[in-house]
Amino acid sequence: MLSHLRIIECTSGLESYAGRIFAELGAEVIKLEPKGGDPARKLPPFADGVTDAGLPWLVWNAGKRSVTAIGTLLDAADILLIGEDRGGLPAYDGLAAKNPRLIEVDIRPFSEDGPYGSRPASDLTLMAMSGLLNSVGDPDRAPLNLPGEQIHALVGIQAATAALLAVYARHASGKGQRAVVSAFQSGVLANYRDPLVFDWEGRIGRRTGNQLVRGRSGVRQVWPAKDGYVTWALVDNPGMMKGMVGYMRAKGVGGELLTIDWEHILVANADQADIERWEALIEPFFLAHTKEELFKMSNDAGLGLSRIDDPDDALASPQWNHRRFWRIVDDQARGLALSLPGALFTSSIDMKPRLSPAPALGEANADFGLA
Amino acid sequence: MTKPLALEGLKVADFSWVGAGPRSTKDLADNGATVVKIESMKRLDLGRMSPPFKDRKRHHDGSAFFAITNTSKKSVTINLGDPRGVEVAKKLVAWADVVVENFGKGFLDRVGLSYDDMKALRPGIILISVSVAGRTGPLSNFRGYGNSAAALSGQAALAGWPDRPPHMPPFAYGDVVAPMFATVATLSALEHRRQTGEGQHLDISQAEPLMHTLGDLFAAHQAAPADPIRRGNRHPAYAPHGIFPAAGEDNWIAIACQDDAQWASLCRLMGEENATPTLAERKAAEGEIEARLAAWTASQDKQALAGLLVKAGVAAGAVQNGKDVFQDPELQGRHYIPQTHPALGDCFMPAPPMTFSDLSIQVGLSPLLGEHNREIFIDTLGMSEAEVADLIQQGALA
Repeated sequence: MLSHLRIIECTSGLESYAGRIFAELGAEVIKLEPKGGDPARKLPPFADGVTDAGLPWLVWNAGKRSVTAIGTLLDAADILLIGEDRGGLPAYDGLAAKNPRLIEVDIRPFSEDGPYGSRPASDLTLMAMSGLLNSVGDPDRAPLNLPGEQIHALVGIQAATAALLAVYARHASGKGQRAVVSAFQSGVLANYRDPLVFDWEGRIGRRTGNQLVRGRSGVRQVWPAKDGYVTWALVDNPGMMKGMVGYMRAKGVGGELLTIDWEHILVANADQADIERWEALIEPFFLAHTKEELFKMSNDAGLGLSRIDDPDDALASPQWNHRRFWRIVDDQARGLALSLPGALFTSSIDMKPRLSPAPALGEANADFGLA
Repeated sequence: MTKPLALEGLKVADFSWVGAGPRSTKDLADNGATVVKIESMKRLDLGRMSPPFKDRKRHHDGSAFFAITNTSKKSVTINLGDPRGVEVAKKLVAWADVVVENFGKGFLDRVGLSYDDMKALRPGIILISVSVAGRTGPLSNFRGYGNSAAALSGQAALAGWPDRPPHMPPFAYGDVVAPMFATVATLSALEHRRQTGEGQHLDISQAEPLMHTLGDLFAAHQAAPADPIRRGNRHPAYAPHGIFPAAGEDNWIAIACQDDAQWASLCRLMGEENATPTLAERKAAEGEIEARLAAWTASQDKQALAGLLVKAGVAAGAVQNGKDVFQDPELQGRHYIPQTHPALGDCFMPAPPMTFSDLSIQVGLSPLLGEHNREIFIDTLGMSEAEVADLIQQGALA
C-alpha cells in the first residue's frame, strides 16, 4: 500500500518495530547501522549456525535493507524513524533544511520535556511504570510481565501512527515535521483499567491469579483439558451457562449445577464458596475432553469457550493459515527457514505481500552508491 | 498561530462499540477527524454500561470507561433494526471517508450495508472491520469475549511462570492492540486512496496483532522447540531481569541489567563484589542473584530506589499501581488532560502518546448519547426538522 514511501530507520532493539510495520505495508525501509552493526544484532537467542544476528533482530528487521553510511539518502526520504542515539545524524532542523518534506519520528522512553528525561529504561521497567503489570500474576508471587516486549511493540505502532499522521498532514502543508513518541505514555494508554478505577473509585487493583473478578466474587479463567488448557468462566450469561450444563447433563454429570436457575441467579455476586464448589464440578468434565472437543462443542452452541493455543497450535492453526498470516521466510544465506508473522491485517485489495529475510550488515551500500 | 490538527476534514462513520473499534476512532478524533458514533437506545454500547460510573450510579452518560474510549467524537442514535434507520445510516456512509465496525459477522450484510453496498453509496470508501479472529477462515464466526484473543494467539500460553499454567491478564489486552493496528490500517488506506483513488475493506483480527508483537518468541520457539515457553519475568539477553520486593505492602520494583556495566554499577550500590561479570556467569547463577537482590530491595522505598538505580545508570522502574500511574508527574498534563464534562464533571481524559512540531492534538469531550442528532441529521445530512422528529418519534432514530 505504501510502496511509494521511503523510510530511513536509525533505531536499535525493538525501537525497530515501527520500521517492521512499514516494511509489511510495502514501504522501502532502509536501516542505517553503525559500521560494526546495530548492537541489537548481538542479542540472543541465536539460531544454530547463524552468527551475524540473533533471532529477535532477524524478526524485527525482516523486509528491510541495511546501509552503514547515509550519503544523500535522507535528501529523498519521506520518513526518518530514529531512537535516542541519533547515530551521528544532525538534528532535524539541519536535515529539513535539505529536505523540507522529511518527517522525523523520535522514539523515546519518556517525553522530551518531562521529569524523567533520558533516564535508563528497558521494556520491563517501562511496563512496570505504566502499571500494565501491577495486577498481572498470582497473589503469592511478584507481578508478572506480559510475554515479549510489549512496550516496544506499543511504541512502535504509535510511531508508525505518528508518521502516517504527518504524511497525511504533509499533503495539505507540503512540509514535513518532527514528532516525538513516548514509550512510557504508549504503555499507559494501553493500561485502560487500573488508573481509571483509582481515579473514580479510589480502588487499587490486586493480582488475582487467573481469576476474572467482577462484583463480589472471582471466577476461574483457565482450565486444564485432557491435552492442554482452555479458557471459560462462570459469567452472567444464562444462555452460555445453560448450554454448558446441558452438555454435562447429557454426559450424566453436573450434580448441583443441574439444579441452578441460571436465568435468575447473579453469578457475579454469588458466594466465593459456592462458585468454587460449582467449579469443582466443571473441572472433571473439561479434563475428560480434549481442548479441540471442548472448543468445537462451544462453537456449535455459542458457549464462549476457547482453546488456549500454545505456539505450536498457533503456528499450525487452520485459521491463521487460511488467512495467510504466517509467512515462511526462507533465508538461504543464513540457512534458516522460519514462519514469521506476516500481514498486519487482510484487505480486499492485493497488498502484494513480500517479506525478505533481515539484511546482512551493509548489504545495500552498493545499491545506493555508498562506501 | 494555532497549529492545525492532522486529520481536519476527514469524515468517519463509526458503528463500532465497547473497546476494539472505539479506541481506534478515538485516535482519529483526537487528531481532528469528524467521527460520528452511530449508537442506539435499543442496543446500548456496552461501554456505556461499563464501570466506573460518576457517583457509582449506572447511567449511559455516566461511564468513565466509555468517556476515555470515546473522546472528541459526536454521537447520533440510529436504530439499525428499523429499515428507516438503515436509510439514514446509508446517508452517513455516503458522507463518510471511512466506516468502522465491529459487529458480528454478517450483520451489516443483512441490513443492506455490506462493503459492496457501501461502495455503491460512496466510491472509494474505506471500511475497517475489527473482530476476534478475522472475517475469513474457519473461526470467522467465532464470538469470544474478554481474553479470547489472548487464548487463540498463544499470548496466554506464553504468559506465566515456567512451573505454572498459562496466565490470562485480568484485562483484555487484545482489545487494546487491535485498535492501534486499525488506526495504522486506516491511515495507510487513506494514503493508498490518495495515490490510486482506490478504497478497500480492511479486516483486522484481535489475535493476529498479538501474534505480530510476539514474533521473536515464535521464532525462538521454532529454533529451540524443547525450551520452556513460559519465562516468568526473565529475559534471554539480560540478567538480572525481574520484579523484586520493596518496602510496604505489595510494593515492587523492576530492575533490568542490560549489560555488564549496569550489573557492575548495581554490585557497587549493593556493596557486593562483582563475582559474575559476564551474562553467561549471571545466567548460570540467576536464581541466587535474584534472591540476593530481593533481600537488598525488600526494605527500600520503590520510588527512591528506582531513582538511585537510574542515577547509577541501571534501568529500573517502580511497579506502579493505578494510583501511582494516575499521580505520575510525567503524565499530568501530558497524558491526563483535564476537562469539564457535562455528565462526569471535572475529569481527566487520556491523550495520544505523541507530540508534533507543527500539529496539535485536541482531546475533546466524549459525547452524551444522541447529543449530536440535530447537528448531524439536519445540518450535515440535510434532513428536514419534521422528518427527523418523525423518525425519532417512530423509534427509527433512537
